[in-house]
Amino acid sequence: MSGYFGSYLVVAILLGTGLAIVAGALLVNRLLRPHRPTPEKLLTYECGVDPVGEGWAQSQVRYYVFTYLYVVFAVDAVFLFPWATVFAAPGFGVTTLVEMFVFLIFIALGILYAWRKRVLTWT
Amino acid sequence: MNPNTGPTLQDFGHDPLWLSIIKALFIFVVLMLGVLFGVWTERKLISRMQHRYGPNRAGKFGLLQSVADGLKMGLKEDITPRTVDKVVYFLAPVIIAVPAFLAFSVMPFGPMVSIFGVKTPLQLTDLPVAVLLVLATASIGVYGIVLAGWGSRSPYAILGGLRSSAQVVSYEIAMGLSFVAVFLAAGTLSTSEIVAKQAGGGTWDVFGLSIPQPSWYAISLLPSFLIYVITMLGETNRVPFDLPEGEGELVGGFHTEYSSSLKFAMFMLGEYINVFTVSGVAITLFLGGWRAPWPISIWEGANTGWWPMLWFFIKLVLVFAFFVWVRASLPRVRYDQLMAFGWKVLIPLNLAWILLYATLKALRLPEVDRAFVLTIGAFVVVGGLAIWFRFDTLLQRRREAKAAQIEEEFEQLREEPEAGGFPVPPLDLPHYHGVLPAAQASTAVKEVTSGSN
Amino acid sequence: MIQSIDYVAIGAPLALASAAGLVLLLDVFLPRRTPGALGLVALAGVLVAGGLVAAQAAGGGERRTFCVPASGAGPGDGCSFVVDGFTLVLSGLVLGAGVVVVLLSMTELAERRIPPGEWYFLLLCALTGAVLLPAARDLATLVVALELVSLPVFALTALKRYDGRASEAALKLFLVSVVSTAVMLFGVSLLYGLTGTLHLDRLSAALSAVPGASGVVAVAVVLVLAGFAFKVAAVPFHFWAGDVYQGAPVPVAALLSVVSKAAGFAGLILILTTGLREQAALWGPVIAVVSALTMTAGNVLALRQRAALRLLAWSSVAQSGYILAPLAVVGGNAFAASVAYLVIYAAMNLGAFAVVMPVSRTAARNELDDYRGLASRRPVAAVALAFFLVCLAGLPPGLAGLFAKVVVFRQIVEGGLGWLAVVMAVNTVIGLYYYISWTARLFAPAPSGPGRVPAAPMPVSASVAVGLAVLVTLAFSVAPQLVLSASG
Repeated sequence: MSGYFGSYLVVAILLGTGLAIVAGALLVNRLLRPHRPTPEKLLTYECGVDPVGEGWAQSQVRYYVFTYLYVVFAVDAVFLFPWATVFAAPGFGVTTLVEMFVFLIFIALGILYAWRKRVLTWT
Repeated sequence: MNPNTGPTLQDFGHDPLWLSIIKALFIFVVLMLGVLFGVWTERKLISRMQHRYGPNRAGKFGLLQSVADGLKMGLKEDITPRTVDKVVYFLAPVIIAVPAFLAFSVMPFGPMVSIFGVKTPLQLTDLPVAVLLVLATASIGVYGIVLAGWGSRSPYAILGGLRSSAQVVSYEIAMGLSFVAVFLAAGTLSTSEIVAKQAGGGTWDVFGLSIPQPSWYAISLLPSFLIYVITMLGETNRVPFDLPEGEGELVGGFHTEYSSSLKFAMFMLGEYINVFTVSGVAITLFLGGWRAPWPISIWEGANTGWWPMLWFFIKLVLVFAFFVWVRASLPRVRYDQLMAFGWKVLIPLNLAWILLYATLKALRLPEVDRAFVLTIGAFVVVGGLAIWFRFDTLLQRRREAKAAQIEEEFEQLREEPEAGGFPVPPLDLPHYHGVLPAAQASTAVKEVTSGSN
Repeated sequence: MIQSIDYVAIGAPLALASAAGLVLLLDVFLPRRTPGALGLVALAGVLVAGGLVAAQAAGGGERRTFCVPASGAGPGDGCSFVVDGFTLVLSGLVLGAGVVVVLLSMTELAERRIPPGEWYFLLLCALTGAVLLPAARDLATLVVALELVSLPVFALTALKRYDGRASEAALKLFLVSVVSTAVMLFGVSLLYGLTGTLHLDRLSAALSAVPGASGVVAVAVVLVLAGFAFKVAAVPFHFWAGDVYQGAPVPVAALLSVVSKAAGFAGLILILTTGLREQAALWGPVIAVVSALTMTAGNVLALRQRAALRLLAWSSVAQSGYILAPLAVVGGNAFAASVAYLVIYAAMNLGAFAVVMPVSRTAARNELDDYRGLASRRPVAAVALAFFLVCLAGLPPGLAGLFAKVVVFRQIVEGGLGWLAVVMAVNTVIGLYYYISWTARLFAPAPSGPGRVPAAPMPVSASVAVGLAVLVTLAFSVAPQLVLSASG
């Protein structure tokens, strides 16, 4: 339980325990619960109306655009975190600040563009 | 103030295996009990706020209500609809529930204590990138939501899943950005060191009493804290951002098809643990962590031994109560408002605040040319204002045009006798499931399936 | 710690990137769609970058920046960004081509069917990558720059929306490019894994020091070569050329055939002559074979084409083969011949595209037969096109093409690759056939059938583009030493 990977090992142990508990609960549930299916029970629920057609609906492409925006900003955040931690360390100073300004301006360009192209407007 | 008494990164990774297991079990027990009684607290609290009694049958004060519900869910028939994608449908609740526990592994509950003779921090583990781990585990939950919606093969579920994931990823960005100011201030991503950094600043001496200056980041980084509070509501799909489960629109959202079986209980479990996680993060990053608030911290022993755990849990209960209070007070926002708020307000504001704070912090560095920084800052501010001004006038113009247009439509409708002066929809709108007016019924028209939109 | 940045050195890519951002902002904030204004801004950006490059060339000397101080990591100063003669020549080529492509775009966008802001933004991004690439001196910068050239081009190809051919072309380009990038990245990661360094000047020595790993080195080298082979449309990664050139808007085809190809060759030359200098015995024969196959395949395929753009596509594949040939000569300064050929080829080929562009607007299918009688309808355009085609074929009076071919021949023969010289000679003869038959069509009498629309006047921007290309090619024909000395 020591060293750099020790800390991560503990996280992995926690993950394993969680998996075991959830699996155990589902297993016990499977042994205890009744099972009497009827055709009506096995229909998907659409407010009492019989479902028609395929359940996998096409949906608005807008969600896809948001995924892209998310990727852009998630990457942005990944760059911001290490920058924020070393920013005040000696030897960095104004250059580091200016570089982050430049970077964020380019990122902001993206959101400005999306904004003006009405990607962020829903109706 | 006593200097940094908290553990640092060097104090981690020395625990023997049995101690790690004890700590992990402790986290599980706390979280499970927390969920059981959290549900009860929420129901009870919101009832009192709405002048009702709330659960009061099972056990004293209805304390055992959640236990009873849990047992019921465990023993109920589990219906798996015929059309679902079985593997995905089964995996979704597991993916939501399991990683939810992980974030608590880096949550600091207290300082160094001695357990069975071993000196150890009251925290399972700490990493140099601990906050990143919290963000990562929080975003794994999104997979569960999407997969639940997808695997259910029902239009309501898939819509709920999509909406929910779009919402969560949007607010996750704002949440991540609201942490940046904290990292700037603390200079580290490790949770225990962030708590240590909030140990205290200077003091004010008023009437012989020395009041410590607020060292919580919630106060010194107020904008970040406010944004974080909003995003933590959005990230956990709580009121006023509980659109994924907007009953009026989507039945139950992504978990419509998970009747009320144990799988549904998994979703509930994950959701509540996420609430605890974001509350814990709020406490750790902004509210001083396990450190006692001011009047208590005068007492020397407040921040030593096992006491801090009490302060931590008191804070946790208070933050959780805040969630309930918000739920009782605010209506649900509309989806377009929600997304617009996240992208057009929270994220730009956050970026601007980060830059402002970084500039202020740079000014305080010794080797910095202040005039240079101020000039650049002035340029940015002027540019930002110009852009904002341009937007604002445009928006204003558009709004006025829209209002004028609506007014005109009303004028027109007032003239029309059959509408009675009110804007009513035309009577021959196509009915759901393709029931057509007689005129069109003769031509063969494909039936509108419920899945398409 | 902070690296000091030489802003003069990175001036050209910086100017292009800023222009790209500016175009995007203007597009978003200007009240009405104004393709003309955006085109002028883009043109100004390219010209400013060109001015910076010219100033650096006039100033002379080398500029290095983004350096990692050597810490026993091997020889070389580990600079990621170097501006030397090679960089300047290729940057100048790319920017000159950029001017022509922007001018052609103005004609293309005049119809208002393609969103101008996105178009110019993507175009400038691709140019940024292409200017960055010849200056890159480490594998990561190289790969990023190469991607910066490739990614916008897919979108540019697909921007002609509601056009099935364009979408097909974009998809083909995308798939082939992604696969080749993946392959190249695998090779790059192998090289990095073997040596532990990304800097090209340290790579070679480190590779020779790796004991008993020649098999792995060979695999890595082949994988990296495959990635660049796609970029320059060399066999066996040449299949995309025909469909993509035909489906894409003509300016994009011009961009692909010159800018993107120049970037690919720049990267290839850098990796081969700097990074893998010691491994020449390994890649020399491979390049020779690929070169021979590429020129043969390109010429044979071009023989059978009836559409003008497809013919240009396959002929440019063949030209890639000629450019590759001197690289196969191990050692010495052989790659200078490649650079010289590349520069001259760029001028000739862009000229051909510049003339094809307006014709494509009157004849939708743009077949070779549509050029019948061009001499009587648009004498100037016809003469210009004839000149470019003759140049590409390498016949007098198109001396530029001839000089280029002679330089390459001499280099190969001196390098002892006699068989490659023979293959190239045969190929040149094959090339003569289709270039000349096209030229002959220009001066043939026009078919007097119905449905012949009278030629619209040439758009101004296209005329300027043609004029520029003619001037430059003429200059190269009269004074080839301009190119030969600069690239040597």
